[in-house]
Amino acid sequence: MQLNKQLSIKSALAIATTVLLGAQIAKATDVESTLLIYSEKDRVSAGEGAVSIKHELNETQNIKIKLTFDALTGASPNGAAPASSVQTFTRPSGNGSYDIQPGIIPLDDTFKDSRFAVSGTYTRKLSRLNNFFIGANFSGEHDYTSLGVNTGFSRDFNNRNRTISVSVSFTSDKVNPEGGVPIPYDTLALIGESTSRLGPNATKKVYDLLLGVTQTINRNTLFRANYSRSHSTGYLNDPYKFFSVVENSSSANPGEPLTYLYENRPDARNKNSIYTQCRKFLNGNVIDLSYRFFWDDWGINSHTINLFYLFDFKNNTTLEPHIRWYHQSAADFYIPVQIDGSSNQQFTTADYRLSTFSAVTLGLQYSIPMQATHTLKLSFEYYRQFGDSSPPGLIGSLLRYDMFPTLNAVMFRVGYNFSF
Amino acid sequence: MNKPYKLSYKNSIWTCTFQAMASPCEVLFISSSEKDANLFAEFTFDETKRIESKFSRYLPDNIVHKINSSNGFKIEVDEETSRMLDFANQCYQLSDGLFDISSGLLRNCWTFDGTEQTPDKDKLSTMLKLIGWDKINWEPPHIQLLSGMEIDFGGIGKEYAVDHVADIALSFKISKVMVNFGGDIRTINPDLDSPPWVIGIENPNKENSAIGKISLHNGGIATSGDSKRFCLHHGKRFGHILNPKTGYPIENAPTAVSVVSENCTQAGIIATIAMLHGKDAEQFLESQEITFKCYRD
Repeated sequence: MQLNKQLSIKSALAIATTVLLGAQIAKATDVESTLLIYSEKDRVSAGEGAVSIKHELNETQNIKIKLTFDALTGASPNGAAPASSVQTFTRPSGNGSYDIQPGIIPLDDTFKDSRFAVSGTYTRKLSRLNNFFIGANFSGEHDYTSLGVNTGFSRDFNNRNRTISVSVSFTSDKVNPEGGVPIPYDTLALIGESTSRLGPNATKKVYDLLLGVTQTINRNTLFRANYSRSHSTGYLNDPYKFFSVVENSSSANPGEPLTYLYENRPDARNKNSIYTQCRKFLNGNVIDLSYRFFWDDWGINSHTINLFYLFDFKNNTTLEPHIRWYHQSAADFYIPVQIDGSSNQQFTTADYRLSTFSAVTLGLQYSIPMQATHTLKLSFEYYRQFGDSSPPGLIGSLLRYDMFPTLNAVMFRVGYNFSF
Repeated sequence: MNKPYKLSYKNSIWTCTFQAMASPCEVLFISSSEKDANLFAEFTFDETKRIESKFSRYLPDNIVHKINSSNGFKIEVDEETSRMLDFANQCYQLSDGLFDISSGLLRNCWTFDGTEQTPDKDKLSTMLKLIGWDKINWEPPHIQLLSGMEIDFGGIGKEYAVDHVADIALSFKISKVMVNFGGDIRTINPDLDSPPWVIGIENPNKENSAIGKISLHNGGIATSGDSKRFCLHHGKRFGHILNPKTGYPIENAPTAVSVVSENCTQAGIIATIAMLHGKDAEQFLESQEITFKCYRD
């Protein structure tokens, strides 16, 4: 009896060790899926679904493919200023128009678009300390296509306490706006009025460089710094944005619109940013603080501070509140309106995204492990953007109106991740 | 740049050496490509260090630390840890509770420095309440310990690393490999017509004295026991192997047991269970129909 029991140990152990060792280096496939709903009060609403699949080919190589689909609808400021009487704007297609009530920032409610994007990355471990990746991406919507390639290299130093990385990317975009590409400073056409155009489409090229260093300070602290440089060239205007030319102070109705001209931006832009991040692990919890400084040759400077804290509960659920603060200065050629009689600047935009503004984001993410390798993530964000409601350069009736209505938006995201 | 391991080539055999898991580690293999040899050596080192840092009870912030400091709460573990715990559970069942990964706390009651020991009986009975795999709630992937309990993979981790490294050699186009982490060994050589690996077995009672050689194509060798770690109790000499059921050292245990088996993990568990059989160690080993060497003073 005793002997039989003992005999069974060896064969039972043989099976047990086979199971223990059986699952070798996991050639795992990780899937991340997310659904996102974004809604700006009275403006744009968007929905997005994304699936990302990462597959380990072997110990040194993996591929990652991401598919994204989003749909967007709603209204966006067209660049014109409020007026004391109803303003009528021709839709970008040239067919039809929309009216804007007095005193209100004009919003073009034509926005309705869907976008499909796919990207792929191949990563290879070249040796113990060196990693390499190469990738490509494509996205398309009815009036815009973008095609990009990227590659990068990273190397670990100093017992893996430091990682240096460099990556470059090139993107070629093509815009084919409804109604063709407007001529800068051309007058917004009236309905049915024929107008000359630059052509049916325009192109833009973007070159990016990123240099990064990640340094382990001690067992609980990680520091990261990046410098990025981006050079864009080609058609950099928003083809749907224009600005108001208003009556001057010696006229009968100062500040009231006379006409609308299409915006005109430089055909090149150099952007730079420096990003620093410090992450500290505190007994399972994590605190992470980052700061980004951005500047470009259009005169925009911006500061972003992001702070998050991760609570790791004993049952492996995590709760992650975060707060982000953003502030940017206006582009040199931003004006809220052009006053009649003054000659055109070399470049002009009234796009609120190139004006001075600040934004605050408050967010909360809750992550719940479902089973062995499955995780459900729920996150909610509240975004508030506020600018100068009475920027310099206004006259007459314009001084009465809110030129930068505060924008409130909420975002809700559901994510489900699993491996097999 | 200085690599944390050494890789050399001599007589058509590559040798990679480094220090890990408190042992000298040596991996011998045959590869026709220097590139594959380099990649495998790097991977071997990385994987060994990964397993060490993941399962060592001496390192903070790993899964073992997380489980041991869970304070009675349920902890979810990853797939690899889950396999280790399943394996530990089977070892516990197969050894009738002698092999128990929760018995490490007994270390606090005994000091194996060759001196006379009189354990504090109250402390011992308190400790015994915190020992026993049967007190652990293991419902994969969740583990729940009583507050104060601890586990460690001392008898499994290194052997697992040895087998793991040998098994992954195949995916680096390496057909013949011998992994030796401080005397825990695994060999692979599927070509039975080619010469086997020849391993010198050291007498654990006498350093640097080989007591024999073993020729092995595919298999594992592991040794349990350490003649230098013992204590005296009522004038009697006890080895450092403790009985998790009584809290006392195993009586009449061999000083060391070496076992040859199908893989290193299996050999290691059989050697450890043999030690736990005390005076019946040889009888137990005989019944397993394996090659072994049992050392007694």
